Amino acid sequence: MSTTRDLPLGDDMPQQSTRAKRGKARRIDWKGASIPWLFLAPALVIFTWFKFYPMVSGLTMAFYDVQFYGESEWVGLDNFARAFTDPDLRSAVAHTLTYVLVSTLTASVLGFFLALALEGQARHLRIIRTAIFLPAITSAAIIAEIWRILFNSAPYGVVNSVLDQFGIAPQGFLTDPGQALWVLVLMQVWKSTPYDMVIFVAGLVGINRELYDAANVDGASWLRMLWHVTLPGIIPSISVVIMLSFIRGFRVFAEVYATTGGGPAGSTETIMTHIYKAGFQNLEYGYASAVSLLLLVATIVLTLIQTLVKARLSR
Amino acid sequence: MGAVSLKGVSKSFGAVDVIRNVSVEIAEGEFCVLIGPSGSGKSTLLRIIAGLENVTDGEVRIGGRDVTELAAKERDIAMVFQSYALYPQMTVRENMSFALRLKHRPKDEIRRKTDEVAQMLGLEALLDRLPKELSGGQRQRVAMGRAIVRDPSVFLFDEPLSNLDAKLRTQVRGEIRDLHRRIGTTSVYVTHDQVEAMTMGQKIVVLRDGRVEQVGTPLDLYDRPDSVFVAGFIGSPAINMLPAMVGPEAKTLHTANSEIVLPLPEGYRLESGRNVLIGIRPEHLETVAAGASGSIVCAVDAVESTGSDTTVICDSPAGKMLVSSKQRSQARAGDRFALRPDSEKLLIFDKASESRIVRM
Repeated sequence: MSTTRDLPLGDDMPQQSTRAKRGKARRIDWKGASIPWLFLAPALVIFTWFKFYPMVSGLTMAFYDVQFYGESEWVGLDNFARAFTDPDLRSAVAHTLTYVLVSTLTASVLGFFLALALEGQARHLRIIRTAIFLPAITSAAIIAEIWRILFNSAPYGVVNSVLDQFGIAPQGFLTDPGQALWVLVLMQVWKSTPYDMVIFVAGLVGINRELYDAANVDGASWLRMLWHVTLPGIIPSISVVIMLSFIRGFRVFAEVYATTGGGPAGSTETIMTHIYKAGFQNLEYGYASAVSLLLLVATIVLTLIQTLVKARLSR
Repeated sequence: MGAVSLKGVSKSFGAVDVIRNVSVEIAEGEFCVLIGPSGSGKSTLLRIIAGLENVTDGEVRIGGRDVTELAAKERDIAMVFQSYALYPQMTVRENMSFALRLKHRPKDEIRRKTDEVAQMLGLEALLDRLPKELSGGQRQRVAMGRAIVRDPSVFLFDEPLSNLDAKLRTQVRGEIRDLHRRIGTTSVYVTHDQVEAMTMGQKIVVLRDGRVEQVGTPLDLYDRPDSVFVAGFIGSPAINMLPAMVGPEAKTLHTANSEIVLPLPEGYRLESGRNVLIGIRPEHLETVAAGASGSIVCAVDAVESTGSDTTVICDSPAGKMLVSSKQRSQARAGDRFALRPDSEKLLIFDKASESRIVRM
């Protein structure tokens, strides 16, 4: 019983002190509130100047015919209208879609099976996983250069030399308008597969092992387990992989620009290289901004669709 | 239905021996509980019976059939898992009928069996729900339903109640017991909770470090534990163990580091000076007047009451002792009183081997 008598006393004490503290806190509120902003200020200034201002500026430019040495002229939605009728952009969109869809699908399927093969805590698996991950963290410029060397169209090019061993004639690869885009897709697959694998490995770790045991006891084959246990268990990972891959793919620039520069004959022109050329080579800032804005909207729409599909799949 | 027989089963993970030469016979229709502390190998043994782990050595038979080399799906067993392991994307009906669908049973049969079992377990209203829309107890019942639908030779339960709260655990415990009575299928049940083991098992297998410590009925293990380990593991509150030495003429037991002298019950043939451990169940101690012969003077340390039972934790010259009773205690910390064990119920163990000395 003594404890119950003690309780009210114990409860009163902190209440008084909290009230006193609250009064004090109110007095120093302004000073206290400004401190976090002071710490944030340098980053905010830098971000505003180099990120937020250019973003807003780019947004407004989309509605102007930007002039460098005179007053920019308001053109309303003309830049957008041009974007929808520009045959070069249309072909760049087609190339980008091919690039994104094929590379995403191939890399995620390969990444998934690699993850299945390399999942686990064994030391050798960790070493292999690290080794396989290297392309994902290698600079796009370096990979582009390696690709140019590997797929050199000359008969002495590395891949052509290998093909020669099988009696296949030298291929044009990056210089052939019919092949260049596929060589770039291959490069993207090589770079993305390990990245996707890591996300899948993380997803596989989260699957309840007892589900596999239950499926085993229920009489499920390996394929059934894959379908009924593994795939439903990694829907969040699949969703992340696809979303990141789509966003990365639609914004692809460095890999293409450093390898083919959009050529030959525009056969590897993507949305970003098209924007770059419109903006920085043809100095059509307004039009380039309008296409950038459309790309942003398309990315947002895709993300929304992906979120809806994921929600539906995971019920 | 099928009896389960394990003969000389061993299992090693690398250099670590997890199961060592285990032989257990579980009769057809029997409810057998595997119990032991963490790391004793009880879950591994269950997985070996299920075919989810291969044996390193030995033989597993189910219903007289050697299944040692057979995969889980070929052993005609069903298993209820600790996490229930319900397929999250499937409805209750789909979960329950999954094994039958994999066997390509006719649709009518699948529907009929699922409905029957759902009715048996009171799951009819939940058949179209997903596992995430169910409570812990409902998930547990679905997991059992999934096992029952298959009509297996043996049910295997891997700590199926450990994720439930205390009240639900008692309720589901009763449901499993009733189901076993109704269906009569051989069941092997793993738990670390000795109350579950005592209340559910017809046979209990106590495991320790991968070895069978003792096999018997619940009351066998309680009344006649083979070792100090079993005596300590079975029973709540735990048995009191007092180190002692057999006195002159082998008529008394003298506890170590104290002046307590207890009479040695009739029927023990012990040589004087032999070191032993005296096991006294908490309910076999009674309060007596101070100074009574064979009594132990104690000071109350704490009193724990569950309402129906009271346990008094006391400090005695021989160490900490627990006394339990159905009666309420008015004792307060620091109170002193004398305890006398029921000498007929003493359990005496050899100190060196820790095995029980049998009374003639």
